[in-house]
Amino acid sequence: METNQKEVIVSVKDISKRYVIGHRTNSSRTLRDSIVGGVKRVFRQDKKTRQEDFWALKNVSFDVYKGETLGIIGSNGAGKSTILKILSRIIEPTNGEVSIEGRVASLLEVGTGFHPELTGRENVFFNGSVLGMRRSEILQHFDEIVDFSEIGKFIDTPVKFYSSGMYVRLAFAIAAHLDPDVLIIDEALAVGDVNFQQKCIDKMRDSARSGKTVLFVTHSMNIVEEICDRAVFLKNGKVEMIGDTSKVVSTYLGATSQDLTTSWKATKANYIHQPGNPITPISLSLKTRDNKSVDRTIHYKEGLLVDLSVSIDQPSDDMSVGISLYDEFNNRLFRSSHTDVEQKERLKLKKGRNDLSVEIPLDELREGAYLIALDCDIYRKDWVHNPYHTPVRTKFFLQNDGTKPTQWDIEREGLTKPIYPWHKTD
Amino acid sequence: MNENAHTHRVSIKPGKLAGGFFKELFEYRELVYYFTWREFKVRYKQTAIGVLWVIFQPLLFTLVITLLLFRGVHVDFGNPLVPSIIPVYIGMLFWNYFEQGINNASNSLVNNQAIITKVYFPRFIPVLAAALVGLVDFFIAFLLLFILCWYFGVSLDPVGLLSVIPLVGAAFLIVYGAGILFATLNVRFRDVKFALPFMMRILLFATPVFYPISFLPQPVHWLLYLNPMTPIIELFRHYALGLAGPANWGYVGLSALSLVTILIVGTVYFRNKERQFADIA
Repeated sequence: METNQKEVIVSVKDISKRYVIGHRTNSSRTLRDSIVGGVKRVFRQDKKTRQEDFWALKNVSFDVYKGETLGIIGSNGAGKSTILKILSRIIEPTNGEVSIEGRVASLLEVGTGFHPELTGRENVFFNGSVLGMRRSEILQHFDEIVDFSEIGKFIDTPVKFYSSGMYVRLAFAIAAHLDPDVLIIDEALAVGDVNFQQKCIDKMRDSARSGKTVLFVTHSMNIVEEICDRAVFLKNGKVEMIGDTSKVVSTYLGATSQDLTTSWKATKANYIHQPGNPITPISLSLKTRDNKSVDRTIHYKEGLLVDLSVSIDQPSDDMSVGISLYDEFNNRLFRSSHTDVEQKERLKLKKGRNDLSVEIPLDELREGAYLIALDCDIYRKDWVHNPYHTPVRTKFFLQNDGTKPTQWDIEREGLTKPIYPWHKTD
Repeated sequence: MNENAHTHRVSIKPGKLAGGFFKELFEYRELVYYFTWREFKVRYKQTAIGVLWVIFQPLLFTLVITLLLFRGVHVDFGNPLVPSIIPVYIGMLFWNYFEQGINNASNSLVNNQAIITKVYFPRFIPVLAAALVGLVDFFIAFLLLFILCWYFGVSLDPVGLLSVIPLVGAAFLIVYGAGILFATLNVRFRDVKFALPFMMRILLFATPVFYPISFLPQPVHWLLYLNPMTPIIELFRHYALGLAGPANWGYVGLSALSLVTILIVGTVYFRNKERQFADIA
């Protein structure tokens, strides 16, 4: 591998980024509040709002070597996006310096600058140019881009008529044909349907293998372990660890599994009710099949019951109450809600407090940390509680050595490890 | 590409996000073209008469002024052989470029916010593209001038016509200078969106667009020359139609000074703020 040469291509030295945030005693959410607040502020004598420095990044330093793929990991708010934006020259650092040898292309989203009124062809040229491709390069790769995107004859149709899948495929196809010395990629990039996602990941892996230098930010530890040579673990704006991917990933996972909490109860501090939200969570807790409360870890044979209590303003048929289950790599294994079954078999929600419970079989789940988050929506309309953002969540560690294959010393690969019956049919 | 990879070096540190203007202008020349091209394409998509709007706007305004307003007000352009519709149309041509150019340029950064927060490119490019695409409109509408002159039997001075190049060049500099100033202000203060059309409406009457400057009393002339569009319109009418030109070249100097001031103030203010666009947008 070329990394043996250890030629530094991106050097990040002591980068810090400060944001000044103004505090207000009560945040204004409605237009009326904003107007009243605005008027009050105009007439207030002391114009000073309490201001506070927030360091999104603090003295971050690392080097990226020529030809390597470096993953940047960390939880939300750790500064991953900020460092990418600084490396992409979108925002400027408060202190420190970055130097990059060679041409840089950054992909923080796909389809930057796509205009709905323009045709696919026209957008390829504009988007390619914005991403730093020369006109000659776009012309040279144009047919490959169209092939990769599977857009075919729709290339001369305005993109506003595209399905979201087509839009994303065309956008990624352009990005995939960039040929810079350093490529900066945000995880949001691998999008579209499952097949196309795999195609995107394959393409990224190819770029990494072709000796291109790639910086990659992601939540998915699977992808990091698969395509990155080294990783940087950011925590609260500081570098917690740099090094070999597998070591950094396990440190990161160790750090995140320290905050296992197997029950959640609404308090004034941990939940702010948004006016108009029809479902107010009261509690989310875990217990075993025998009604024993769970303390951080659970054995798969004990069985898992998830108890959920919510208060509902006005029940309706299209309202669903449920949970999402994520593994420690942030893969969502499933969503489950009371509306998963036929209308007539459903539990009837009532106005006021509702206590619900669901049993989750644990046999098929691999050993590891899991997260259960509240997941409520109005069918086809809106999130009521988005599991990605809700504070209503619990974490537990599952012990499952039950299905370890006898003659193998490693676990089977895959998100789950089910045992299904096999039969001979010959 | 790879052989010059090592000659290309990017340094990112506080206060030094963008490179030099002319260096980046050269480096990103294709993007300037594509921004201008996209601006032009998008503008007339989904319109029934498309590019004809470019001609309709100044023409209709000119007709309204000459047919209605001039029935009550006597405006003398100083040459009985030239019907006033011709110099008024010339005034409207330049004015339209000025007004729409500044309007579009001042919205260009806000409108392209989504791109600005996702990828680096020199931030002056959308402003430059707005000023450039207006030139395309200008020259399309300019063609109608020949038809009008032919119809009314007015002869244009072929050499004098060439003065359009330096004059529209000067107009471009004002549009870019004022555009980049308002575009930068607009990122932080959306008041610009409300204030600008209002300001333009007043300025239209305070610029010799549908009257010659001699229509107003001498003592206020210098005020009108503060807007560099005044001598641009007056000079073109003088060179192309042989109408009276600026009586006082000192005033033209004042206009030039005003143009340079707008350009410098706009550029300096933009340079100071461009690094924060993605932070505050």
